[in-house]
Amino acid sequence: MTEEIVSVLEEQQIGDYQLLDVQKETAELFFIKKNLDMRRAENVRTCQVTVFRDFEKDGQLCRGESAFVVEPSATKEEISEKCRRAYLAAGFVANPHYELYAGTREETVLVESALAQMSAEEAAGAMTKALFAADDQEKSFLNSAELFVEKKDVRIRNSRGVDVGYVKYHVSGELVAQCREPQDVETFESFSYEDLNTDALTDLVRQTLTMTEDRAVAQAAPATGTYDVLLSDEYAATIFDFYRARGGGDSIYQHYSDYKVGDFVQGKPEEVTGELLCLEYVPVVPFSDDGVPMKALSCISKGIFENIQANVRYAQYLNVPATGWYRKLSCAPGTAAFEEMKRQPGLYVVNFSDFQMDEWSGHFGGEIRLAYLNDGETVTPVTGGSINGSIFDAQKCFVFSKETQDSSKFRGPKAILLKNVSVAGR
Amino acid sequence: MKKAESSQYLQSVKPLLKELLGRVLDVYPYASILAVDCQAVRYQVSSMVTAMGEDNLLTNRGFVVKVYDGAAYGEYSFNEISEEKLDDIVAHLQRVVALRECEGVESFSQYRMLADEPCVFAESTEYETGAEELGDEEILRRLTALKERCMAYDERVINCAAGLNYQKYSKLFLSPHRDMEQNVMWTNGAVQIVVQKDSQVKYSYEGFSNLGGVELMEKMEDGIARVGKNAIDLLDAEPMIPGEYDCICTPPVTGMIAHEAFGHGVEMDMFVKDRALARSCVGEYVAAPMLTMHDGASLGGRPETASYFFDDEGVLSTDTVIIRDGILQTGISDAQSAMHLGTRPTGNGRRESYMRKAYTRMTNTWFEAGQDKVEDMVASIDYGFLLDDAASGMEDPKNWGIQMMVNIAREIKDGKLTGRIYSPVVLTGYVPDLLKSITMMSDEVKLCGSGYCGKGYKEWVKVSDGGPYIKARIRLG
Repeated sequence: MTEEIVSVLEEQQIGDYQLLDVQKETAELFFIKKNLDMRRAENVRTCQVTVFRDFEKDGQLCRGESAFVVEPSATKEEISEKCRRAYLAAGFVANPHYELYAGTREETVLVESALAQMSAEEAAGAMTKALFAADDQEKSFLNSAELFVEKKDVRIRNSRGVDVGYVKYHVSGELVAQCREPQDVETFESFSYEDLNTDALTDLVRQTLTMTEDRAVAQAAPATGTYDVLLSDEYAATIFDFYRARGGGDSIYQHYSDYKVGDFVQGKPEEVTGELLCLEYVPVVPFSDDGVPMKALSCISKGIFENIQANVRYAQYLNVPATGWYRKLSCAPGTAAFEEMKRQPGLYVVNFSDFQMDEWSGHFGGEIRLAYLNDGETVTPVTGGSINGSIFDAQKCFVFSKETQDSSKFRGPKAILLKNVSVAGR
Repeated sequence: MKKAESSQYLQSVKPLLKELLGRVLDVYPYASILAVDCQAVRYQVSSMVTAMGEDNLLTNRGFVVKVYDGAAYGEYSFNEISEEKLDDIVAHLQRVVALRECEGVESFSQYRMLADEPCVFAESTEYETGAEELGDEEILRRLTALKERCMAYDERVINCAAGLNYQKYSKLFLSPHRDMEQNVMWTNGAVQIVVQKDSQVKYSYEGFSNLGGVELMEKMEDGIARVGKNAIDLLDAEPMIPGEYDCICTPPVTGMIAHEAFGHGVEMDMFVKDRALARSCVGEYVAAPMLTMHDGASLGGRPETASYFFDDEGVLSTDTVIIRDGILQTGISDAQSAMHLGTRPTGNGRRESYMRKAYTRMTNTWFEAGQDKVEDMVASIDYGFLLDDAASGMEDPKNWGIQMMVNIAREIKDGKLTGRIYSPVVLTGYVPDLLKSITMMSDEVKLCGSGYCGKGYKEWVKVSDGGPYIKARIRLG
């Protein structure tokens, strides 16, 4: 398919182009309680083609681009027509000029993992076994679950010699735990692993079942007021999405982010009484979609912004090195013991209906499905109400746990304490 | 008006699909094939960047075969087909069915065979102007003009964007007794203005939608002043003081309540899993007696972006009255859930694409109009808020907890807007409490279908929602 696309591009004398060719295979299992309710598989190949066109406008050299999708069923005539329309449209897209990444042909990289050593069916079986291993509680149980094992074979080519690729395996899914007594409640959790993390999945199920039993006895929302709020696991990780986005070349170029390399970005240095941020961009694939080799890179060191993450286009617009776009961030852990953090008075929110971190406004918040309210003497499960805070205030006094977590999008402290957060409750 | 065109590609492979169906039916007692050919194009003009191209998530062409093995169902999605590949496709399908035997699977659901009443059908939606007819250059020129007007709105504007995207799709559904075809086109537009004060960046956004073509662009001009005012107002917004207040919800916020707070709770695949409180409330008051709620893709209802003729399981679309006069009547369902529950499917079995499973999904979801005037509704409030600029929401079908966010709460004192703005605002509470607290509804319904709906955090499908302005008692934080 790609040879046919390149032949059409050459016939139409399109000088600059980029191809992202993805072959995806999946095995998917859908459970209601322990019953397999539906099974599926997918075997699909698509190629995203981007064509570029250089022209002058108002005395400036511009580079327009337009993308289209080609599937194996496309005839040469269809590919030609899509190419023609895209190349014409690229002439109306007057963006500043930039050059594609230059490279050479390299062998496909296999991203090593235990998943890569087995068939999709075998991996699905092993994860299914792990999923139900902890589903043996008296009061709570798995209501339903979905499991996806995926193999992606990605090849990236462009007109400046890049011809690189990788094969990567991934397992993801979601589960719902239910507890019927004394109140009928449920907890939703999703998971995503780059390896055959059977133990992590079993632990997640066990924790979710326990959390659901606690929610079943939670009676009331916390009283309205200001609390020290403790977040852990995925909610702690979500807080850092703000910094990943603010460090993005697209955000900086379009003025959505005011980050400048060398600036202290954690508010005013004299106001920071908590942990200083030390963040790193973490690659989860060997090459970005525009063919840039990806490696670990410092984002923020002791509160000072060090590197913009940017694809080839925005990197050239900002005159910084192209890094590719990172989906994962790591954060240096703190010194506080998680168990000690939980013992302090405050609100430990373990489940939100949907926790949001707005990367532009800096606002974070969500409705509380389950939290543990520690008044200094007793710990009470509570449900309902919401938290509503600003990262600009919270970042002055972060407390990070020394215990860590590692998921597809974040590696760093398991828990983070946010001080003086507004809570709307009873 | 013109009709959305049939896919030449699907017509060309239809004989091959029928042959494949025949071969699969040699092995399994029931099989169906959904074939899709979707093209979606996105245009975006901001002050810094212009973009135009096919949307790689919404542009796809492929097939999903669903089979019944005598007990349960399995599916195989693929996008290469030829005479030579048919045996290979059947072999893949058999591997899928064999997943039932994989390690860790202790038991499986038992279903009957899907009903397959005869239906031969071909229909298309209508539009005035197609994107190809207007031309990419002219679309980008008009968006650029909109963008320039947005930039000129105020000196605090740091960026803005005007965007347009459309999808035209053709679907074939083939089963032993069904041969159905539909061709649909919808268009979305958006205007966004970003403003800055110190290190805070605020923005406002308005979406536009239709079941049709790029004639939608004519409506987008009107949005600039509203979006600009909201964005500038947000710069002086104060933090919300938590509490329970009398509120007026604008139609987009009403729509979010209809969709997120209530609609997800009546998706009947959740009934099958014992995940929806609504199942035990059919026939009971769940809202104020003045409230009637619909969901439906039927073009006889309220045509919007989520309208179609049949769903992804070959079931004809309907208009379902979910709540009538405050009483919960029924939910909405896909075919498999309806079979499990012994109800009739409502044409709500939808897939994100041919690559994904079908679930029960909403379509166009809305509350009927009342009889009040908006100005009377505002005047009726001693102290409260006008809630606008719906931002996000999350379902809780099991417990009917509300989790929604809006960007703007405009203060109302002694029946008048004071000009004070609070943001952001989290709405919480118990869904029936909110719906039963409704005391006034305006006399005009507005729907918008510029968004997508996820099931949990995935499976995105096009939906619309809306209703009138409503007055209700809501807990804000």
